[in-house]
Amino acid sequence: MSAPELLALEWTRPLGLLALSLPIAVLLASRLFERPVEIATGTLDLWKRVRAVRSTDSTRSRLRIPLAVWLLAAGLALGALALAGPKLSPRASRELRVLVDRSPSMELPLGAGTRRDRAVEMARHWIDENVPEAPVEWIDRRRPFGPEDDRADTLWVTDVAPHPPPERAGFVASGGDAAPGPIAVDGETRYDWDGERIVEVPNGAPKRRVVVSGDLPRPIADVLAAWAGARGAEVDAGNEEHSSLVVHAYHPDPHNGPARHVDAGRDGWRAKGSVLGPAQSSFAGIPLETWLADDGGNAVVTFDKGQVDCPWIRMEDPSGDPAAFAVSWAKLFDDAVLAPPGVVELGERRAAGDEKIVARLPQAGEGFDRGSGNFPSWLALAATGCVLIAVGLARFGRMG
Amino acid sequence: MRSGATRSLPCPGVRFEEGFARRLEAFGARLAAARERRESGGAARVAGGGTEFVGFRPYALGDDPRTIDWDLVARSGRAWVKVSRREAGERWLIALDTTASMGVGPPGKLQRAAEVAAALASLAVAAGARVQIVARSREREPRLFEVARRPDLVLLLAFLEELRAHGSRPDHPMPRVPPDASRVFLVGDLRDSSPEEALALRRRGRELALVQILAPIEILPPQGGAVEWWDPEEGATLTLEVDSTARGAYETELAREIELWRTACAQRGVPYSCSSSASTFEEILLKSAVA
Repeated sequence: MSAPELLALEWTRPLGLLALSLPIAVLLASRLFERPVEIATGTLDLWKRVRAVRSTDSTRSRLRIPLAVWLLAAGLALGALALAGPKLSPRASRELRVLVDRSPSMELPLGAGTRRDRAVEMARHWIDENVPEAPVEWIDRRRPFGPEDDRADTLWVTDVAPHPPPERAGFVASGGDAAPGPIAVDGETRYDWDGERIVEVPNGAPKRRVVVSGDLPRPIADVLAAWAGARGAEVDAGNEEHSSLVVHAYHPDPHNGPARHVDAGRDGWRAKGSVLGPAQSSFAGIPLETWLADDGGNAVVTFDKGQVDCPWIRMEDPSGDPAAFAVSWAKLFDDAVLAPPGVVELGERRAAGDEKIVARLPQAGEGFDRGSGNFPSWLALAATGCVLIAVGLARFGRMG
Repeated sequence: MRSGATRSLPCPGVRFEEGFARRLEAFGARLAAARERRESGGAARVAGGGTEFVGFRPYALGDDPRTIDWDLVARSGRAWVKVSRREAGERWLIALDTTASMGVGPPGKLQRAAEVAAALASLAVAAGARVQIVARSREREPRLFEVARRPDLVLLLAFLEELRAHGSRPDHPMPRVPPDASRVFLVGDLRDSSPEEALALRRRGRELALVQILAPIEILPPQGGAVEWWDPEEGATLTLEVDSTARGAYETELAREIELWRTACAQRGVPYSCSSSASTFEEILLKSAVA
């Protein structure tokens, strides 16, 4: 049985809270038994004049509880709380990160919706059952889950149960039956999987379109053209709708700001040129990943599925292996280009297994469970301090 | 609410420390030396002796040996002491307040008043005067003690130690003064009389001095918290929160009352002083300009 909760804290020894009656009793006793100090005086007539001057009609003063008694009560209260063994409730302290797998297989049909719909529904149900009060951050994850995602405050939402399973993170997997259908496109030829065999469908896929806005430097434009030709795609500068890849390029324009010199490279090549500021970090709310950065760490090419942002307006012939330059950029275009609608890799189309939930509440000491173990010690220390000050005041103070 | 009569006074009695008599003698010697210096060029104090020679009288045990006229001893074979005009036949009255309010303290007001009275009596004896000490309160008949010679001082101390602060304000707060009393001292807290009543004792041929003694708690009350003040004479009580405001108001009232006494006495040329019972009797008498 878990420890009872009160005030967003767990109390390992809840009976200790009964000791909270002690400070209440002390305060009540102080009010009941407090008597004013009795002092004999031969100048009572003067005090009567003082009372008259102060316009106090009652002969009874407001009996106040001495500070020492308040401190004693506070010390007893803190001691009672320490005795009850408080610790931060994991539920109260956890902020949950939910990583939603956005790989193509998540869009395969499952029941009335998709695998993603089912997985998200399972995740929401688990959250409502276990951590209804916890703040939740939903994050789309387009790349595979990695070790950096294996955190105690993280829940993976996917279709296939990960193997090996994460050690600290939880996961929900929607499962799903195999979904035969298109698995690849080569030019205008489409390849389908019928559940057992791969079937070639000539002219089964429309030409893919790559839209380039602005002017790409010649070395990049040449590689793009060669890549598109090999992939059976058309490159134009038209409407971005129904395109498989949009390459955002720029014109040298005063409105775009001044260009700056850049020297960057990767994969065995290096090139000098000019860029119009850093590459965009997001596009339409979707974060873009840095593909190429200069020596200062400024992104000069970013990308995501369907998008490449390339602020280069001038590029000299790259140095190094010319083939390396072409292979490097071609791989970028392969990673960025969208699959034709309905085309999902074979591995993604295979059965995702059964529904599965492996999730747990974080235990104490798992990162974000914030230091609840020292509560009783601090409370006891504060209680001792209050009592000592109260004793000192009572002993050396003039009254109380 | 309990009546004041059922409560006990903090300092009702008198107890002289060992060596108190020596303190009296030392104080007397100190004043005599100071008087000699003054009388060589100034007026005598109320409790001091004059130097105008008016005659002789036989030496009595306890007389100051310095007053012996050695020429007369040589001629007569007997010891004779000089008598000054002021000393001859002087009769002093020391009215000691022993009402219940004198039991307030510590230090007790009656204790200090008794010491002052004993010191005045010692000065009287040194000056060759007869002194009557009268202790007055309502519930008892006035208690009297006469001191004429130095050996009487020991008995005076015993008399004073039997006194207890008790009772309320007498119907007639002022003592009955013998017609031949040339000096009257009122020693107490003066809470039972008005300046007019006290100053009425002053008349031609009779000097009056007022020595007011208050307890420290009556001069500077403690601050903080509720206090139930009780009057030991009337039994009345008053509960009040003694904060800084109340304390300040009390000090103002007390200062006003002391100023009333001071002004009234100054107008009549009557020495007046207000001292704390925390002061020694020496300090009180020196401050009072009586000695």
